[in-house]
Amino acid sequence: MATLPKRIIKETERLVSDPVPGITASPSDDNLRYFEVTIDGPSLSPYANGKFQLELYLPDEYPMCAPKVRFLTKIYHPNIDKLGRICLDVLKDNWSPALQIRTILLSIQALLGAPNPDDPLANDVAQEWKQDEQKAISVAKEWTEKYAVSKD
Amino acid sequence: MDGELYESSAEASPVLDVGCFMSEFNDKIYHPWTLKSFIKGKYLSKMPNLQNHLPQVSYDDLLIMLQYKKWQSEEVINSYFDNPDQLLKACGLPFKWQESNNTFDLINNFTCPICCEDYIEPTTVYSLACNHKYCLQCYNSYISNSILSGKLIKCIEPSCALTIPHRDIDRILKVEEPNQLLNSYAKSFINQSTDQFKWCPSTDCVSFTEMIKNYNADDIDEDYESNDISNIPIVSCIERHEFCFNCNFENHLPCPCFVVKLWIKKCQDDSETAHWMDANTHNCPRCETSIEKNGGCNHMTCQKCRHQFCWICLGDWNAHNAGFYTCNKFKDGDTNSKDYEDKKAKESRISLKRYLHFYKRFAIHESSMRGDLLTLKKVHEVTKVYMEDRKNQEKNLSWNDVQFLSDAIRALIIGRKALKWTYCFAFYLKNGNFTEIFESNQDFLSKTVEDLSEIFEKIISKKNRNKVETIMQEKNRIINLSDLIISRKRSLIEGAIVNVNEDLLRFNT
Amino acid sequence: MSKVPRNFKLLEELEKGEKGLGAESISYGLANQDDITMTYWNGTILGPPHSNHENRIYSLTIICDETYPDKPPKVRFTTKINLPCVDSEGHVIISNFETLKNWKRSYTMETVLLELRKSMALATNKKLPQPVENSTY
Repeated sequence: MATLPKRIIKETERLVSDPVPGITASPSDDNLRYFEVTIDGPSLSPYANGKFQLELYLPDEYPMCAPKVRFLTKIYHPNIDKLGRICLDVLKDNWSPALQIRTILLSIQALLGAPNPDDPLANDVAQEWKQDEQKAISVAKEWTEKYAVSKD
Repeated sequence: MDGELYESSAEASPVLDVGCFMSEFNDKIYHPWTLKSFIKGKYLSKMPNLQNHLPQVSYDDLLIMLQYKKWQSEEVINSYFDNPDQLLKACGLPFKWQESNNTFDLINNFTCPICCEDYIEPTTVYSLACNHKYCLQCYNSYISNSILSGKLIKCIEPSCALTIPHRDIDRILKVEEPNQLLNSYAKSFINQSTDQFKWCPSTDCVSFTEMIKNYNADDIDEDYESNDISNIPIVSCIERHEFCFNCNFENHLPCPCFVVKLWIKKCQDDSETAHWMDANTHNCPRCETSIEKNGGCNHMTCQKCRHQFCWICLGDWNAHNAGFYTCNKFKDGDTNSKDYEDKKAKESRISLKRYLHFYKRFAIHESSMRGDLLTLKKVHEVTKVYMEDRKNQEKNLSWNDVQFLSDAIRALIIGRKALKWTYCFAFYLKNGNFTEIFESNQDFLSKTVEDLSEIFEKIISKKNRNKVETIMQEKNRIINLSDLIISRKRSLIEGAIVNVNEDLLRFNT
Repeated sequence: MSKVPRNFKLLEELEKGEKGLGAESISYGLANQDDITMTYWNGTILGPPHSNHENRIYSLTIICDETYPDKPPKVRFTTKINLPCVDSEGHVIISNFETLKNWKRSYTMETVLLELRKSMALATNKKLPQPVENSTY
C-alpha cells in the first residue's frame, strides 16, 4: 500500500490527542483512510442522547476533494437519506482543502441541530417535515430512541 | 495548413461579416472559431478600451473585473466610477492602499497547512494580499481541481474571498499555453450555450462553430421526424470539417437527422452480426488470394492473377466501367429459394441481407475514406518535393500552385462522405420510380470518386519512380475530376432535397 | 491507489446505476431501497440481438456480502436460461464463468452483467435452445 500522506497522519494524530467533544473518529486497522465515526446528537435537538455511527473515507485525491461520509445508524432527517447519504454543501461544491475531517464532522453535527428541509436529500422526510414540523420532530425523536440510544 | 487556406478561401460571400460563412444548401450564417481566436475576439479584445478608461487599475485586476462582469466592459467602467470599493470587494481584489496583492516568496522552514509537509530547504510559497501562504504543489493541485468550472479562483482559505490573478494561475500550473482560466471559462460557456455553439465532432478536432443566423431553426428538432432535408444546417469548423449543427454529427446529407439516429442505433444493435464482415480483407474472386486493401480506391487488381475487380461487389471491374454501374443496387430477388423455412424466418433473413447490403457499402466508403486520408498524407509529402522542385526552376512560387491538390483532397473526402450517407438514405427509402434516378446519381458520383482515388494511388504507388511527374501529367484530370465530384455531389443532394420535399422519395422508418 | 472500502464502492456503483450512466443493455439497483447494508441487488440483462436471447429480458439477483469486492458477488438468474455457466437452479457457476473465476477488485456488478450478456452472444452459445420466455426458477 502506498504511504499515507503527512496531512492524513497529522489529522489522525490530532483527532486522537485532541478529540472534538461529542465526536470520535478512529482509523480502521487495515485501511488508514477509512474511519469509524460517532457523533452525539446535539442536546437541544430531536437527536439529543443519540450516539450516531458513521463511516468516513479519504479518497486518493484528499485533501483536494472532500472526504466521503455516510451514516450507518438509521436517522430521520430531511438532509440524510435511507442509506445514510448526507446532503451538505461542504461535502460537495463548497469543499476547500483547508477544511479537515474534524471541521466536516462538526458541520455534520451542526446539520443535526439545524435540519434544512428546503434543500432535501430524503424527499419524503423533507415533505413531512414541511407539512407538520412538530410531528416530524417527534418521529425523529422516536427513531433516535429506537436506533441511536444504547439500551444498556 | 488547412486552416491557413481557409482564411484565403474564396467561399465567403462579400456581404458577410468578417469570419462568417454561409451554408451550401440554405442560407444559414455561421462563424468557425478556435478557442484561441474566440478568447482573443470575445474577451481580451475588450481590454484596451478598459485600460484607456481606467489607467490607474492594473491589467491583472482589470481582467478579473472584466470576467466578474461577464465581459461587459461598460459595466466595469460604470461600477468602478459608481463605487470602486464595492466593485473591488465583489471581485475579490484588495483595496487600493494595499501594496501588492500577490507574491511568490522563497522561504525557509515552512510547513504547508494543506499537505502538512515541512519544508526545511528554501521553497516557493504563494499568497495573495491576505498573506495565507501555501506551497506551490498544493496550489497547483488546488487550481487544477477548481479550474474546470472556469469561475474565478479564490485563495485556498475558505473564509478568504481574494481572487487569484489569471497570470498567476498560468505560472502556478507551469504551462506554456497562456490563459488557462479563460480557456476553461470559454469551454464551459460553449458547453452551456449549445443553441449557439457546437464543438466540431471530428476526432482530434478541438475547434467549434458559432451559429449566427439559423433561419427556421424551430422547424428542425433532433427528435422531430422531419423529412425536410433542405433546412439541415451544415456548417464547417476552422479546419474545414463539415458537420450538422442540429444533431452535431458529421455532414450526413442527404439523410435527415432522425434517419441518421435510427441508422447509428441499428448499426450498434447489429454490430455483432456485421462484425464477421471485415471491411479490410477479401479474397480475389478469381484466384482466392487474400488481398488487403490499404488505400481508398475500390478498383482492385489482384497482384497474383491480375484480375481486376470491384472491392464492394467483388464483380468484374470492366463491367462497371463499360455498362451500367450496378453494384449499389439491392435486388429484392432471391425469394424463390426452395428451403422449407417458414415465411417469417425467410423474411427476417431477407431483411438482414438487405441491411447488410447497405451497411457493407456504407462501411466500405467509411474505411475507404480512412484509406484516402493515408494516401493523401503521402501525396502531401510528394507535394513538398514538387514544391522544392519548382522553386529551383522559377521564383514567386506560392501555395496557390498546389492549391489544386488540396482542393482535390477535400473533394475526395466530401464525395466519399456523401456517398457513404447515400447508402443509409437508400436503406430507409421506399422503392419508387424516383429511387432509380437517385441510384443513377449515386453511380455517377461513385464512379468519379473512384477515378480520382485511383489517380492518387497511382501517384504514390511504390512502382512509380517519378511521382512529381505524374502529378504534373495528371494535373488537369485531377482538377476536372475534383470539380466533377463537387458538382455531382451537389446535384445528388439537390435532387434528393427536391424529390423528398415533393414527396417523390419517401422514407420507410 | 488506496483500497476503496466496500460500502463506498457500493455507493459509487449504486449512483452509477441510479443515474443510468452505464451501458443501456443492462441495469441494476438495490432490491430494497432502505437496505443500509447494500447486500441484496437486482439486475436485468437485455438479450443480445441475432441470438436466441433477442428481445428477452433476464432478471437476476446479486448478493454482495461482507467480503465484496475482495470476493466476487453471488449471482443468480431468476429468469430461466440455458447457458453453460448457469446451473439448473439459475446460479452462475463460478468455475465456468471467467469474470467470477478470475475476480478483480476493480470489477463491478456492471462488469458481471455485461460479461454475462457477452457470453450469451458467443458463437457457441447464441443458438442454444432456450426455455419458454419469461419462465422462472
